Amino acid sequence: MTPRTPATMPAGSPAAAGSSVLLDLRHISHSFGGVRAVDDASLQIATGLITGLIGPNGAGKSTLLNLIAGSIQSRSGEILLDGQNIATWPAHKRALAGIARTFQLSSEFKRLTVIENMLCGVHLSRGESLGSALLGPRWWGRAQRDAIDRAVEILTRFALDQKGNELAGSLSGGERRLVEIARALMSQPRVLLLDEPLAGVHPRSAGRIIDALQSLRDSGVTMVMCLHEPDAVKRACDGVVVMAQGSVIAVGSFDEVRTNNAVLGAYLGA
Amino acid sequence: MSYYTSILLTYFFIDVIAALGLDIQVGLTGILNFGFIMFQAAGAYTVALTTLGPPSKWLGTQTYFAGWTLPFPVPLIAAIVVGAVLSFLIGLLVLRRLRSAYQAIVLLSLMLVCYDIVISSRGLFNGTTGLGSITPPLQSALGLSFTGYQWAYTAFCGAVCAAIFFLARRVYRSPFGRLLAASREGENAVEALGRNVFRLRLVSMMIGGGLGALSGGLLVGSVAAWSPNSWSFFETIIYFAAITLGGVGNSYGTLLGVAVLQIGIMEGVTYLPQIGPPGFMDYLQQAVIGLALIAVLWLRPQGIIRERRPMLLDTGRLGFRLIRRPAALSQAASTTGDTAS
Repeated sequence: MTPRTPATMPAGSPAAAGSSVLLDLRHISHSFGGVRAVDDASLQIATGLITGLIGPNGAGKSTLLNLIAGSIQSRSGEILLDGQNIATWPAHKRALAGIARTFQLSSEFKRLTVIENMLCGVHLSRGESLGSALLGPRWWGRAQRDAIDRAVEILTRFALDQKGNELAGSLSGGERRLVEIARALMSQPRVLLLDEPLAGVHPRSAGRIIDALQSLRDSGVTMVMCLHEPDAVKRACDGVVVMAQGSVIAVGSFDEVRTNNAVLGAYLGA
Repeated sequence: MSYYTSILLTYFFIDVIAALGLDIQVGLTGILNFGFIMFQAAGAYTVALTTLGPPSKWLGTQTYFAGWTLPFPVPLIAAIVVGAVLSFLIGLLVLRRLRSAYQAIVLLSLMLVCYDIVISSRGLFNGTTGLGSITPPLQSALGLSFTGYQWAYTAFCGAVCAAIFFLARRVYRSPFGRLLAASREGENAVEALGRNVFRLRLVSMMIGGGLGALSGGLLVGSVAAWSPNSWSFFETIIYFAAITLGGVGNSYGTLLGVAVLQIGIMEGVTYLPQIGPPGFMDYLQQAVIGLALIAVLWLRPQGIIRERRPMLLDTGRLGFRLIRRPAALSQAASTTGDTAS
């Protein structure tokens, strides 16, 4: 599979042909104490593609993902999801609006089984409030069984269906990453934010994760992911956004940004 | 012997109710509630105030605010409501911004503040002396002998305990319980999955607070008195020791932990030959409980019965089976001091 047309654009530039803008970030800033982690960043993410977010350490990539997901509230600017400003929404409300995410340190629920992890990713119609929980499995069992069917379907895509009853904490690093991604998919998100999905993962597992992500992209899921590995960026991403010192310094295809002087300067300190 | 047995059983049932409330907060949800005993106290004082009648009745020997004589079981229901409301208010303060260890510190501080307020304000609950002569529920209406009534009360506490245990099992096994367990494992991840973690934890806090208060209400019906000595910080440690010993995050572990701690250790110590000065055996009892807690955390942090998770794929049903816990996880839990299995 090859990357599609780069479709991640700086604010104000026209959308790539055939792609609509799903996520529109306008003048986002955030500081930690005196450090400006994200500085007036503006960006547009097109529907149905994988956008890579790269940059040297401390560039503000993870902070930007956290700002989009709502794990950190932005102090200024707008985050438009399909035209609606979600910048002030709490994280759980953004998730309900279709923004799913994974974390830099894998965040599977270690002492829950894989299938339980998956079930946490979807809202069951029954059994998730105290009142309906007390009514017992006869009340909520069917809703759960339907969700289990869906979970098995997703786990099968990731070749994890045999691991369903195992505690998530007992899986390998790569499998944990896959469980985290699979869990995020349970809610059928519109955009999936992945923070270093290949960090600490064996190269063989990394290839498996990239294949899975491209398969997801082909099924219509929009993704934004922070990455460090150039080969993985080239292989997995349709477009690349480069950040340095909290600002977006370049946007384009991998081949375009690798020769960009500003990007070379940011990485090499020139 | 018969009276002793009935008292022992009554305490066992009451302690199981309280320990289940604490386990839902600590074992299932991961809220380190070091102030748990204040909810039991809230329930006990509520039952006392709704049973004793007006303070004028005591000609100044007992002073407290308000005072009613409400029919059974209204005082117990009031105790649950007060416990839930108190835990709701405390949850608003503690759960929104603070994380694990800080929550524990603030909850302990709040308990100590409440303790000081109760001790220093005699007009609230009769200060350090506490409240006495609290009429046990339906004692005169049943017309039983002293021992007969005690057994009837034991049976009542047993029935309430069984009902609570049944309902707690439903919570543990439900999707709601699963979300509580998930929030214990990773608050941010649960939030990112579209759940309001603050609300989930607040509900857990209220369940625990309500059950703690119910246990206090039942306890005061048995001992007919309640004073600040009844709810020192060490009482919270006893409940923590019980759920840790039995195995946190599962209802059977809680049941076993209370049995081992209360019947095996606390009562067992009283059968030892009396040594040392008066009161020494009480201190010895506390020391043994502390040592038992340390031993469990060192040797078997997951407790006697480790948490069980449902094997949903094998059966297609909702039965629970034991899943072997990876050694790495056990080690991680012991080194981080995290006792939930």
